Amino acid sequence: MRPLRKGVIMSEDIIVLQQLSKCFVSEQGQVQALQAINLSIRKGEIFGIIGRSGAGKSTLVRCINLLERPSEGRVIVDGQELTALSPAQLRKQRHGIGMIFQGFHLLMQKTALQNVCFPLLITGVPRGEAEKRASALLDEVGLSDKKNAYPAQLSGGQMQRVAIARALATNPKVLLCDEATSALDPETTQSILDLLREINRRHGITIVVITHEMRVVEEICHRVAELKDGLLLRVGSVEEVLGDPSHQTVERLTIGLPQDEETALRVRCYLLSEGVLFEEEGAAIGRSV
Amino acid sequence: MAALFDPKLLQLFLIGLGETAAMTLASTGISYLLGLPLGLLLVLTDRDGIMPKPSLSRALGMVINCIRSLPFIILLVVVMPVTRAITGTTVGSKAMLVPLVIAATPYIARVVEGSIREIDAGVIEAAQAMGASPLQIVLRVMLPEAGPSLLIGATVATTTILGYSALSGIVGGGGLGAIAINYGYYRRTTDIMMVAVVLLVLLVQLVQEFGGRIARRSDRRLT
Repeated sequence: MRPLRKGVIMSEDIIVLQQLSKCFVSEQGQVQALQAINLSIRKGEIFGIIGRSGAGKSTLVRCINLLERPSEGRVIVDGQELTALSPAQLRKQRHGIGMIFQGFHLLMQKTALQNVCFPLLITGVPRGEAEKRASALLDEVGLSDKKNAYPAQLSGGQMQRVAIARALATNPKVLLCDEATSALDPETTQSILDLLREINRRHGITIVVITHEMRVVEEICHRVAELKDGLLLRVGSVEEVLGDPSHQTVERLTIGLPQDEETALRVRCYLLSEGVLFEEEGAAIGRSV
Repeated sequence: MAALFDPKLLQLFLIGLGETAAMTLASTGISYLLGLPLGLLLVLTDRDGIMPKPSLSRALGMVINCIRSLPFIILLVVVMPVTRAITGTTVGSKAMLVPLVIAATPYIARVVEGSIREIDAGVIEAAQAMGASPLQIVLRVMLPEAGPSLLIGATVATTTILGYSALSGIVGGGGLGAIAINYGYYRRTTDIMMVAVVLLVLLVQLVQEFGGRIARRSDRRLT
């Protein structure tokens, strides 16, 4: 992990988390979900955050747009310290941070087009203009023929495409993906990952991906961070983290997997660490297993 | 039975029907003006709401429970001084609006609260993530998303209030309820009471059928 100089925000870092902690207090007691996380995400990269369930991944990504307010620490996005803003200022900054979810979270009583218009209308864009932009975005995500369909008439993959178009409507600099493919079948996952990679290339948008699926990380991430029990274990390139000779990451991620999948995963990680395997080939092997 | 077709009786029923419809619609309308914001406030200020003010939410809930725990027949009598202060009288359809609104508002607040709580929390969270203000979330997310459920709630509320309005016949309210009680209970003219009862049943069926149909037709979750 790169050293973080206090107070200095390097220009290429679009998201900076400093000493971020989150403690949930309930009647049953306290749960330390995140502990003193320091993390910088660079402009234009696809950054993965991996870990088993309960590791704090979701809490971490929700802290980036302050859906979850950290107990301690600072969140800086695009040079703005979000943790220091008033509610109204924060809402304004959130227009520049898109987010998609595992459960899509579309408006069920609105059409695909109306869903994509929503973020534009709340920022005061006139309806006609909003519809034009929403229509273009739905073309971009491959849903030209589903503009007037309601979410109940769409498949999971199509709903996630609407959600992606909606997240992109306000031209955000950052796109947060909270387990965005976990509810989808392998083929649909593949097409959504392709779309995310395409969006990253075309718009230069920084994408943060939370996932427990190894293949998502292998497929699209430039760099990865691994979380365990609220602690940041390591940050680095996909090869560095997944191909760690100690295989600790693999060990942790393969617990509970069927034998054949575990073997396949171990082989892929080994090949990655040896530099034999490149991103695309890794994915190909992953599919054939 | 032939006496039922007496023009005088026919007029009696027509007036009764009109009074019942007017009382029900007016008190439901006024109660929604008060109960809808109240129900929203209950959800918004809840501990997990988008504007958490748990003490306010709890206080509101307690007041609502207090009014709701009073049987309507008792409430009718208890609020008579208020009724007189507002309308100048305690008898007739207009006077009955006061107890009807007092009884229906907290009921409607609870019905609205239930509808709003049905919305998937994730949708509201997504709107927050996009930078929507609480007012925008209420107007553009909560009310449209809960629309069909709110309509079903309104249907149930209207039929309940129709029942209340009939009950008010006992203490001098007008409408079909008054006819049923005065002719059926006090004068033992069972056939006239039966006609009033049948008309009440038909009214409830009509409201229920009509409201349910609109709700189903407007729900985009059903394909």
